[in-house]
Amino acid sequence: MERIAAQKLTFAIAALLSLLLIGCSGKKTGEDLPPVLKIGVLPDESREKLAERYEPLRRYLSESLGLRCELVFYENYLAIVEAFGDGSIDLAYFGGLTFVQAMAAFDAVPLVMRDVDSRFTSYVVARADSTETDLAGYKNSAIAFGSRLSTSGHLMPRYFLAEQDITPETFFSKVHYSATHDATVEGVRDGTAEIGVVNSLIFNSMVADGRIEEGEFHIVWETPPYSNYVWAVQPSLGKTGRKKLRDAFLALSPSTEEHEEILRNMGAGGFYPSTAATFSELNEIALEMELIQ
Amino acid sequence: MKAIGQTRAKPTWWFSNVGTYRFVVYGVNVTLLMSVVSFMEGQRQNYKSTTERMNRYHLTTVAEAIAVREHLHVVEDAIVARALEARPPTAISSREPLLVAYPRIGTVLYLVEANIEKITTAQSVFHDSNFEELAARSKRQFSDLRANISDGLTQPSKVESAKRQLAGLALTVEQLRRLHTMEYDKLATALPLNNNRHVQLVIAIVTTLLAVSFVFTRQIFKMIERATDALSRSEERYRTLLESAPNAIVIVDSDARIVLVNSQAELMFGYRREDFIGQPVEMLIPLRYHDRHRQKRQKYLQQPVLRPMGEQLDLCGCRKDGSEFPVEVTLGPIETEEGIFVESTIHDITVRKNLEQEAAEYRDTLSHVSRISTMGEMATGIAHELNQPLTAIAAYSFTAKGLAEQVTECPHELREILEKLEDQAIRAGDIVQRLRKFATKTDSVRTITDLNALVGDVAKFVEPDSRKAETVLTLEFDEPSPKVMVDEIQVQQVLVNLIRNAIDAMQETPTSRREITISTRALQNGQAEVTVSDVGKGLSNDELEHVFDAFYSTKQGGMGLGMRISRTIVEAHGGTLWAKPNNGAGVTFAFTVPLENSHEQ
Repeated sequence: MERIAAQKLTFAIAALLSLLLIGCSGKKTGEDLPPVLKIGVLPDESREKLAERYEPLRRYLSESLGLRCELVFYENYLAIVEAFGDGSIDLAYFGGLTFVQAMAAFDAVPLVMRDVDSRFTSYVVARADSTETDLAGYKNSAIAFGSRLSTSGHLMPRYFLAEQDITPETFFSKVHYSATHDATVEGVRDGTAEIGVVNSLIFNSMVADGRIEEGEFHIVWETPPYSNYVWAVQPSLGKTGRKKLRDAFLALSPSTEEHEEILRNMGAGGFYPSTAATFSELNEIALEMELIQ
Repeated sequence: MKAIGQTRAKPTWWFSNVGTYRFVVYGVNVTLLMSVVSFMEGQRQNYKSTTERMNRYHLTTVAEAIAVREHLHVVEDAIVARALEARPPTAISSREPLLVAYPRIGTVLYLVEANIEKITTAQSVFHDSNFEELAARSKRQFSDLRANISDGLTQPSKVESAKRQLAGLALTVEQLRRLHTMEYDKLATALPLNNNRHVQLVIAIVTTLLAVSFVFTRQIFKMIERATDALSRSEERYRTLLESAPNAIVIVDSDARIVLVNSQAELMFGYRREDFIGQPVEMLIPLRYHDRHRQKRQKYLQQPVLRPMGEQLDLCGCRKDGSEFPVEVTLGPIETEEGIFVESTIHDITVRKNLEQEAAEYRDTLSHVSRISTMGEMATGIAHELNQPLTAIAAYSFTAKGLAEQVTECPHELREILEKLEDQAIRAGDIVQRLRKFATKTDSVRTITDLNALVGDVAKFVEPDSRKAETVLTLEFDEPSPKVMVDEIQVQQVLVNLIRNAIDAMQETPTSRREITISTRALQNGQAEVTVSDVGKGLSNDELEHVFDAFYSTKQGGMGLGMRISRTIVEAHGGTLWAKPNNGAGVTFAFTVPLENSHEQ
C-alpha cells in the first residue's frame, strides 16, 4: 500500500517538477527584432576578408527580415564577448569557447550553426617516423596543444582525453601550449613535442595547400565530432524575433543560386538549428579549466 | 500522569473524540493524498501519452530524415554516375516515366517520397509552424527535384541543378531532423524518471522522504492509538476507583478549576458532571466563604500535603439549589505535568451533625431534669423542715383560740384573728405538702385517671394565680370524661406549665378579655386531647418553631425549660405536644395522652 502510494507520489512530484520546469522555461518574454540589427562576427580573419565574407549574409538578412542590418567588427575574441555583454550587438558569430563564455556571463542564446560546425574533430598527430600507433604508446612523452583558449586545439581534445581517463599533466611527461595550429604542427615536426593536437580541418588544409607534406605525419587519434562555432542572440530578444532570425538562416538553401553564394562565402552547405546542449561538453571543460564561472 | 490530567480536563471529550479526531485526520489526509495522487497520476498519464506520442512522431521524423539522407546520397551518386547514360526522353512517356528512364534513381526517389510523406504526416501532430514549414519545403523541393530528373538529365546544367536541388532537399530534411532531435531531447529532459541524474536524485530524495514520512505518520498514529488505549485503560481504572469511593470526590487543577468528579459528587451537590467541569471549585461553597476559601487554597498549594480541610471549622457545602449542608473534606495533592491538582474527598456529615445536636439537646434535658430533681429534693427537704413549724403554728393557734374562749373579756376580733391564723397555717401546710408531693421525684407510675377530674384539680391548683392575673378559666369537658393512662403528677405538671404560660401571654391583654379555655376530648385514634387556648399576643412563626427548644423563652427572666420538659413528658407518654396560632388572637397548645383502653391494647 505504502509502496504504491509512494510511487504515485513520486510521479506526482515528478509531474510537479516538470510543470515547474516548463513554467520556468516559458518565463522570459522579450520584444520583437530591434529596428537596427547589429551583427558581430568573430575576428578570425582581417576586417576586409570578414566584410567580404559576411556582406552577402547581411544583405540577405536585411532583405528577408525587412530591417537594417549592420556588421560590427572587433579586434579580438574578448572584445566581441564584451560587446555582446554591453548589448552593442544583437546577433553574434561566436567560437566555441567565446560562446560558452557569453552564455555563462550574459545568457547568450544559441540560434543556428553551419552544417560543418557540428562536424569538427581534432587530430593527435605524430611524426611519421614514430612507431607508436595509439595514445597509450605516448605515455610519458611530451604533448603540444594549441592555444589554451582554443576550442579545437585544446579544450575539446582535453575533454575527450579525460573521457579516456587521460589527464595530460600526469599522463604525459610535458604539456606545451603553442600559439596557433600551425605552430603545434611545426613543434611536432621540430621535435619539441612527440605528439600535437590540431584542428582536423586546419591540418587537412595544411596538407592540401602543401604547407606540410602528407608523409611527414601520421594521425595517432581523432576525437569524436563536436560543435564549435555558433550564431547566438541576446536573451532579451523575444521568441518571435528569435524564430524570425532562425527561419531566415534555415531558409538559406543550396538549391537556390543566390543562397548558394551566401552559403559558399561562409563555407556552409546550410544552417542547422542549435541549442545550448550542443555545447555542454565544452561548457564542462571550460568550467573545469576555470575559463568560465 | 499528564495524560490523566488532560483526560480529566475533558473526560468525555477525550473518549469520544480521540477516535473521531484520528479518523478525521487520517481520512482527510488519505483523501487529500489520494485525490492529489490520482490527479497527478492522471496528469502524468496524460502527459506521458502525449509525450510518448510526440516521441514516436519525433523519432519517426528523425528516422525517416536519416533514411532520406541515405537515399539522397544514393540518388546523388546515381545522378553523377548515370545521368548521361539515360535513355532518350522519348522513352519517357509511359505511366511511370521516371522508373523507365532512371530505374535506380526512380526507385530510390519513391522511397524518398514515402519517407517525406511519413514525415509530413508526423508533423501534423505538433501544430508547430517550424516543422510544418520545413516539411512543406521538403515536399516542394522533392517535387521540384523529381520534376527536374523526370525532365531528363540530358545536359550538364540540368545535372548541376539536380545536384543543388538534392543538396537543398538534404539540408531541409536535416534541419527538420535536428529540430526534432532538439525537441525530443527537451521532452526527454522534461520527461520524469528519464536519464537525468539530477531529476532522478531529486525524485529519489523526495520519494524517500515521502515514503518515510508516510510510514512515520502511520507509526505515529499507531503510537497515538496505543497510548490512547493505555490511557483509556488507566483512565478506566482510575474512574473505577473514583466511582467505587464511598465519598464524593472532586479534583481541581492548580487554578482550582474542577477537572474531574465522581457520581457521588453529582448526587451530593445536585449538579450534572458537565456542570462541574471547568468551573471554579467555589461553586460548591456558600458565597460568604468564597474569599476565605480562595486565600486558604493558595496557602494549600504552597504546602500541598494530605490533610483534612479547615480543621476546627464547621465546613459547609452548597448544593445547586442553594441549600447548605455540613461537610468534612480531606485534601490530597496529585502532581501532574500541568501543575499540582488537588483531590478533595467530601463527606456529607448532616446525619452525624443532627445526631450530635440531638445528643447535645438530650444532655441539656438531662442536666435540666437533674437540676429539677435536685430542686425537688431540696423542696422536699424544705417542705419537711417547714412542715413542723407550720404544724406547731397551727397547734399553737388552736390552743390560743381555746384559751381565748375561756377569757370573757377577750375581744371578739382577737378570736377571729386566731381563727384566721390557724386557717392560714393549715393552708401553708397544705401548700407545702402539695409542693412536696409535686417536687418529690417519684417513679413514674401510670394509673387510670379521670382526665376531667385531673384538669379540674389543676384548675383549682392554679386558681390563685389566675385570679391574681384577673384571668377567667373556662373548662370545656368532654362527657363522659375520658379515662386516660397517665402519670397523674406529670400530666398535672404539663397542664400547670401550659396554663401559667397562657396567663403570662395575656399580660398585655385588657383584663376584660383575659380568658383561658381548657378542653378535653377523646379522639378516635385511642388518644385524648387536652387543649389550652389563650387570647394573648400570640407567637410569631419563628417563636412557634422554637417554642419547644430548650432554653428558649419569650418571657423575660424565663428559663426556657417548661415547654421542653412538657414535651418530653408528653412524648414519654406516647403523645404529642404542639402549638398552633388561633384564628383570632392567641395561641392554642394541645397535647395528647393515651386513653386507658389503648394502653391495654
